Amino acid sequence: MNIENPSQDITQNQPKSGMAGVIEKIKPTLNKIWERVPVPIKSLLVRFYSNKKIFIPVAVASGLMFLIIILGLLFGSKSTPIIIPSKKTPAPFIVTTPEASPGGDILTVIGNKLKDLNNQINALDINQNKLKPPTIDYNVSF
Amino acid sequence: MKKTVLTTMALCALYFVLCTRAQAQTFDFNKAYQDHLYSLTLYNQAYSDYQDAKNSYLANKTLSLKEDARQKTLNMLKVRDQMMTVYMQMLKQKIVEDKGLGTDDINNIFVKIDSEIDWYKSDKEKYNTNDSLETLFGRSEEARARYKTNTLLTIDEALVDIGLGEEIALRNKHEAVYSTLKTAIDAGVATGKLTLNPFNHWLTDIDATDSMLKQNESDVRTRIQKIYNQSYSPQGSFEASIEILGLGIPQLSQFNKFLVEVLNYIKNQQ
Repeated sequence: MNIENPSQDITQNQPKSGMAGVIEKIKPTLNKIWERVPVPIKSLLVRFYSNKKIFIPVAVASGLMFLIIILGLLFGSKSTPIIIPSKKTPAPFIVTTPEASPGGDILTVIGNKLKDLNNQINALDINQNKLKPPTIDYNVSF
Repeated sequence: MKKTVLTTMALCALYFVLCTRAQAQTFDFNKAYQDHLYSLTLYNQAYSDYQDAKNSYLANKTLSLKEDARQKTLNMLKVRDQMMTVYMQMLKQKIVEDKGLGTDDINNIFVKIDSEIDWYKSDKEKYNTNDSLETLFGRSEEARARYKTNTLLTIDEALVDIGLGEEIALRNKHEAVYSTLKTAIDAGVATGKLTLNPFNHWLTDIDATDSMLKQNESDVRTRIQKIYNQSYSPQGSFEASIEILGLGIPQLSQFNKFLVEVLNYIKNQQ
């Protein structure tokens, strides 16, 4: 009687877990891509990979650059985020001197301006006391 | 491996340099004034140290006290040059921000201020740590002569220019208001809401006030230049210029009052 060992069969069909399983899955795809790569490029890549003195520094430098870019994107100076408001943007309020009209707000604006100018006249310090030259003792001898 | 580490460090440094935004601090009059106050404080401290060292040496003439006095004198003179440079730069900045002065006025005074700044910078550089006390006394005399013959005159002219610029700026602002009022009068007359009389008389008076202000400004310009004339005392020229400048204040007030009167009249006619 040929009795098959059921436990052995189960072990053989069980899919591999973790990284090994992922590699197993993508291996056929990678092989297909590798086959399509032209022979001169293939040989160049093989030579590059086989020369560990070049391959390792280049790989490490590329990795670090990638890391710096990622860190820069995460923690670098961020520009102001563009917020798209859900509501319609209100019309901007632009402060301008209104056009002169005989009976409008322009007269009030002028009135306020004249008051402000009068205050500026009263505040004028013709002697420029704040900017007077410092007192210096030039009598330096003993 | 060393090369890799160095390359990585260089890349990191490059990244941070590129990412760091150099934000230049805006230099304005307020900043210049704060700088001036700070340099003045440093000078006062250096002068106080010099006085103390001098008095100590005069009380007890030892070699070490003389050396201390020499060092304090040297420091005070260098700080004094620096203080004058900062002060002149502050005046310059004030003129830059003065809206009333024209290009000719500004260029005229800037040439003189820059000349003074250059002199004090150069003078400061000339000091040597080994200069003897006698040499330092001589250098101080040179600075005194420079201050009397050039710096003080430039300062006086700059101060008058600053006041003049402020007055011109105020006149210009009044002229802008005046122009708006005249437009309002023209529009009112065109629509029949206003009559040309009495505005035609009033506008003549306002124009006369404006002309007086301009004449006054011209007189100030002429008078302050006499500060460089040997026939006039510098102090007298400065005071006379300030006096003429002072005449502009009641004229500006008059200009303002006339415009308020015109404005109120228009309002009452509405």
